[in-house]
Amino acid sequence: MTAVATPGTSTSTRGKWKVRLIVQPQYCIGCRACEMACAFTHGTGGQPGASRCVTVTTGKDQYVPMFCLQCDHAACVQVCPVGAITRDETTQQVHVNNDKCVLCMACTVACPFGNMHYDPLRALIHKCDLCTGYGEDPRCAMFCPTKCLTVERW
Amino acid sequence: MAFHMTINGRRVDANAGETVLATARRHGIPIPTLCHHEAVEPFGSCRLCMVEVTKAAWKGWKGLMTACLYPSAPDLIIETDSPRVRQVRKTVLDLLLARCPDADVIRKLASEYGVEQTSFVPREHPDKCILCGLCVRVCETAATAAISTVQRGHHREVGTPWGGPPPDCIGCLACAHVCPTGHIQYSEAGGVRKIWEREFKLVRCKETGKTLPITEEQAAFLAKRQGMDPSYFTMSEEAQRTRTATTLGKIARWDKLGLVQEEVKS
Repeated sequence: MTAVATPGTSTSTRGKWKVRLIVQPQYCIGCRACEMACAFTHGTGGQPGASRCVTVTTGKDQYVPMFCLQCDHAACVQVCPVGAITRDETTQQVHVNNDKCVLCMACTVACPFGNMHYDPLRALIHKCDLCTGYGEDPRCAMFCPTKCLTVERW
Repeated sequence: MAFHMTINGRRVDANAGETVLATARRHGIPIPTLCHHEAVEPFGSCRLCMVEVTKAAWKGWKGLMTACLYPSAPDLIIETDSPRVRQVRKTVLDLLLARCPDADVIRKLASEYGVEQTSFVPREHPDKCILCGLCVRVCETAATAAISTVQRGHHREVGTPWGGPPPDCIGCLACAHVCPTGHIQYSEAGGVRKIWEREFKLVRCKETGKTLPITEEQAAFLAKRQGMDPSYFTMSEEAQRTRTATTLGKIARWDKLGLVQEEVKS
């Protein structure tokens, strides 16, 4: 089985588990439940614009949910002129420090996969953080009806 | 090295090298600031983060310090909202209100501290600049140090070399975004961004032709300074995402459709 995996991690709330979100686009039916789950978890009142997950329609009945891939050599980390985007060395997750961000937008352009988002309502940069700090598995995977998004722990 | 100190009667843990402001914020104790930004070194120019600092060994002596500059130390006793602190902040806000009566953030903070109308003589031609220098510091850190404070005394202001369009500016808007009062204005129309009386052409996506939120000067600057290939700054977020999704979709559907491996074009 082919899968696109995003390695990521956990906080102390998830114990010692590392979390990896597995995306299998062949099972995606384009219901966008992941976007709504993300928007309600991270946004204020569930505006879909606040979602860090974007489902792209690539053809008839072909959908690919797009998440941050937590790259090993991340372009966003390299391009940030103030070092606001960092990789957590223990959890291996790329994290945006919005207190440090100066909103120069370089990361949204530099990401080769288009997974850095700008929320104009709250004026901040956001990206998939694998629901770190929300205590449970990534919410998108919990709400996915077809197991297109699954969580692997190891 | 971690140690303990007291903020508002609450025992909190602090780390060596941390400022009082960082310790307080980490524990959810609010201290108002205007000129503070995590991306740059603390500067202490707005004086709003004044706190009362003492130690048991200081025999009752209490000093007023800026929290953003004062380093956390073992056994410090900090008061962030005592009557003396409130009085100092009230005076600071009274002065700021005389300087910038139109700035919403100043008016809101001032009314929180009981200042609705300034007791000083207001400026004749007020703007929203409080001369905190945050824009200058951010420009030095994140960009090219294109702006600076110019003149002295009453005439001091944030400006550009010789008052004209700044030659070093890359149009990244960092100064406008960090300005606490919204003094720095810019406009964007038809693929042209205008800030500091200078016009910048925005980069256009090479696939869709849409404008990207960065300027051509900024793309060149970032490629050089951060050591990145200039091709990173040529496509819009949507175009990049569509391209990646198409590739990932193709990879994922090989086994579902039972197709032989087709060539994936990057």
